[in-house]
Formats: sequence, structure tokens, C-alpha cells
Amino acid sequence: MRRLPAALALMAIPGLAFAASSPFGIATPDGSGSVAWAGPFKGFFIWVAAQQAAFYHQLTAALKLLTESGHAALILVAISFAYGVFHAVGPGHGKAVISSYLLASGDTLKRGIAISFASAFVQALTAIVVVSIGTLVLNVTAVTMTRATDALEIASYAMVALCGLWLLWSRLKPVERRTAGAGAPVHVHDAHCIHNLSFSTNGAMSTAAVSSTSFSCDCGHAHTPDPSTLTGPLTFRNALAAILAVGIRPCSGAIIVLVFAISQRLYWAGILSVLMMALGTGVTVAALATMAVKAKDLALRFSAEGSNGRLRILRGLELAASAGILLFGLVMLGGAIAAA
Amino acid sequence: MLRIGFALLMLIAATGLASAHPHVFVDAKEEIVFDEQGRMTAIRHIWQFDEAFTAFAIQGLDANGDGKLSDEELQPLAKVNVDSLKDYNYFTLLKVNGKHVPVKFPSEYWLDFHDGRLTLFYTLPLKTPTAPGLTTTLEVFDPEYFVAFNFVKDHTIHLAGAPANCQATYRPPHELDDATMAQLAAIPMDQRDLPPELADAASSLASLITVKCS
Repeated sequence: MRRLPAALALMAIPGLAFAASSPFGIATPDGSGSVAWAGPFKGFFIWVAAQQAAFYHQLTAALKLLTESGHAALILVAISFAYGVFHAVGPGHGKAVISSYLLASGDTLKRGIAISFASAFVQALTAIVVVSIGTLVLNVTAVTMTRATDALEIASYAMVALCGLWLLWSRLKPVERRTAGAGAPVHVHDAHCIHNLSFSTNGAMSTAAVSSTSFSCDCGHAHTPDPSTLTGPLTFRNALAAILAVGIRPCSGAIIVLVFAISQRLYWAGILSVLMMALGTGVTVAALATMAVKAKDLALRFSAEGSNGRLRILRGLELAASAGILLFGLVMLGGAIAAA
Repeated sequence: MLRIGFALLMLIAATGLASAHPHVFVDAKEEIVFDEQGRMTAIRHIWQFDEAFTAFAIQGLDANGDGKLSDEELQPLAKVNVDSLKDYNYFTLLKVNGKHVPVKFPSEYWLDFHDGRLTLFYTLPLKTPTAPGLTTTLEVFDPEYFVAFNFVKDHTIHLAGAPANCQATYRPPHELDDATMAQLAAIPMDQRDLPPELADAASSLASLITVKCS
């Protein structure tokens, strides 16, 4: 745990690197910083940047092509998806928040992937709503639209910080209270319940099987309440908060592409493109979330067999990730307010 | 024991740092203005924006709805542009003998719209007129890469009113060829340092304009 402060400091860096609005006063950069150009991943990000620039040019070209031929729609779909994948490797899009959230909440991989895609789609929807109202309903300027997205950005970071605070608080709460808060543990003896003890091939019962079956069996017979059912409603609300916290901040790329599409009288194509981008973004975020969950599992597997040590590591990881989300939210919030 | 967990946290932190988000593409032309004593007095930027960013920038600006953008309709945006660019030092770095030459707020600025693209014209006066030195370089570059600057071929730099013995040259950013990109992509994420030859290739993303007076 000695390295915990260092890890927390690392997670706070993205916010320290900048406090900037937008170079032209319109379209705010997605939480960027110049650090990566000098950092260890420089080469990788330069490559990603080159890919992004290429896809962006192709994307706008495909949109223009659509004014002449409907067949370009397929190209647009493919390019938008690819752009989304590469684009999300850059800053923003809640990768750090979503991955840390999964570490903190202990959500399953399946739910983690669902949360990743959900946050990407909420982000796309926010962009669509902002641009649709901004251009088609109110016909406001880019300056006004940028102010709206900046306000949403501040709300997003505030929600991220709250989410972290909530997670941290629920991790720090004594276990007894967590148990009590979730209602009395169910103790049901299912009539069809068969105590299915596992035996290894040589016929001897493995110690692991003994210890696991002696505490619980998975047929509605729970002496010790399963942690996942205990925190069920809590994690669902938390997940929703994390999705919204990330999603209510639209990405500048989606907004620019949408406004461009509308200016070409291709509203539907713009929406299609932004949704495909979200799908691509979801893939990247989900991939990172998967890495986060897998790495956590790996760390646990290599840790001490004793359940006490393992539990401590798990708790430590959850605490670190929760604190990381809180710090990230606060620092980014500070930066966004300072720049506003 | 916890190494993997922390490697993971670092990875997440690193992706948070990731900075590579070009959303504005500029085709740039530059001018350096000289006075009669052969000193540099100002830098003129002529930056043409890409169509998508232009569409976003001009959204809602046609106040009288005549389908055209007049100078009056564009001027407020030009003001917002230069006001905001100030915080970014106008992406302009003029150095004489390795020393940074500071600039003042733009003395003139306007936007021009035609063929679906906006062009921002603005003039940055130097705080003090400065003669070119042994080395004189001008960089126009966004280190955060939110703005991708591309320089118009053969018209990148013009020296206005410069003594006849002064010449400007333009060195494009080193294009990353496919082989270099593949090498960069193949580097494992946990490798902290790039091999020197790759680091060189990656470091020169900025174009460099050099002024020499013999």
C-alpha cells in the first residue's frame, strides 16, 4: 500500500496538465494536455493521432460524397466506426473513469462492457440533442453551443467527483452497516437443491471444494449473503451515475461532424455517423475496461492465497480506484471552472 | 505482489494523459513584416480552416438570413478567435538566437468566408522590433494537437519588406512513414523509452521556418 499515494498522484495528472478553454473560442478540446508528446507513450499517440487525422478527413469527405450519392452511406458507417475506435484512444470519453469505476465497484466484466457501451451512447445522444436544439430549433452560434457543452463538462466532472465520493464512502463504511443496509440476508432452502459437491478425478474431495460448499451453495441456499446481491441496487445506481457522469459531456468531434452534416442538409447521415462513432468508442472503452478487470483478477490470483490478504488487496484496489475517481473529478472540475 | 494492479492504474492514468485529438485542420500561410531598418516588426497569420470546422464556426452567424456572411457578421467571431488564441500564445514561437521574441495583441484581425471555408487573417506586432540574428526561427504548432497545422506548399512563408539579402526556408514536419509508424505501433505499451531513432522521428512534428540574412 506504500505505493498508493504515487498511484493516486498519477491518476490526478491529466487534470494538472491543462487549464484551457479553446484556442479559437469555439469547440473545447476534450480534456487534453501536452504531456503525452513527451511521455513514454509518445510514439504510440503520435501514431494514433495520424490515424485519427486520416479518418477524420475521410469522414468529412464521405459526408460530402453523400450529397452526390447515397451509396456513400456504407463508407460513412465504416469510417465513422473506425474513427470512433481511434478517437477514443485520445483524451476524454471517460475511459479512466469507467475503468476505475469497474475496479472500485467490483462489477463483473459483462456489466463493465455494458457500462462502457452505454456511456459511449449516452455521449452520442448528448451531442445529438445539443446540436439538434442548437441548430435546428434555436439556431444559435458556435460560441453559444460551446458554452452549453462547457457547462455540461462542468456538470460531468462534478458528477464524476460525486461518483468517486460515493464509491469511497461505501467502501469505507463498516461491513456490518453495509450488510444491514441491504436488508436481511435471505436464507432459503430450495426443495430442489442438490448439494453438488465437486470431486476431483481421483475421487478425493479437494479442499477448495469443501471450503466453498461448506459456506454456500448456488441454489438459493445462502447462509452468507452474496456480496453482489447485497450491493445490487447500490451498484446499479452507481453504474447509472457513472454512465451519466461520462455521457453528459459531448465530444467536440461528434458536435463538429453533426453541425457539418446539417450544413450539408444530411441530418440523418450525421446522426448515423455519430452513433457509429459511439459504437467504435464503446469498443475502445470496453477493451480498456476489460483490461482493467482482467488485470485486477490477475493481481488477485498472484496475491497471497490466504483470503485475508487477498481481501485486503481487493479493498485496497477498490479504495485506490474510488479515490482516483474522486481526485480525477475534482481536479478536472477545478480546471474546467478555472477555464470557464 | 501489487505490481500488476499498479501497472494497471498507471495504464489508466496514461490513457487519461493521451493527447491526440485534432479537431481543427488549418492550412496556414505566414508572413514576417520588416521595417526600413531591416528589423522584424510583426508576424501575419493567414489560416484557412477545414470545411467541417468552418461549418461549425459559422453556425447561426448569418443574422439577417441573406445566405451570405458579411464582415459585420463575421467580425465578432474573429474577435473571439484572437481573444482565445492569446491563452495559447497564438501557437506562435519566434526565436532569435534561441531567445523567445514576445508579441503583442493582434493589431488587426478579420475572417473571410468563401468556397465553404473560413480564413482567419491576423497580425501580431512584436513587442520590440528585432533584427534577425544568427539563427531566426518561427514555429507555428499546437503541442496539444487539437489544431493540426498544415502549411500551404510553396506559399508557406513570405518576408514582407525584408532586405534583399534575407531569405526564408521552410522545413516540413517529418512525415512518419509507414515503416516508422509500424515500428512505433509495435512498441509494447510498457516500454518507457523509445529507441533513439524513433524518438527523433517522433519529436519533429512541428514545422520550422528559418530566416537567414547573409
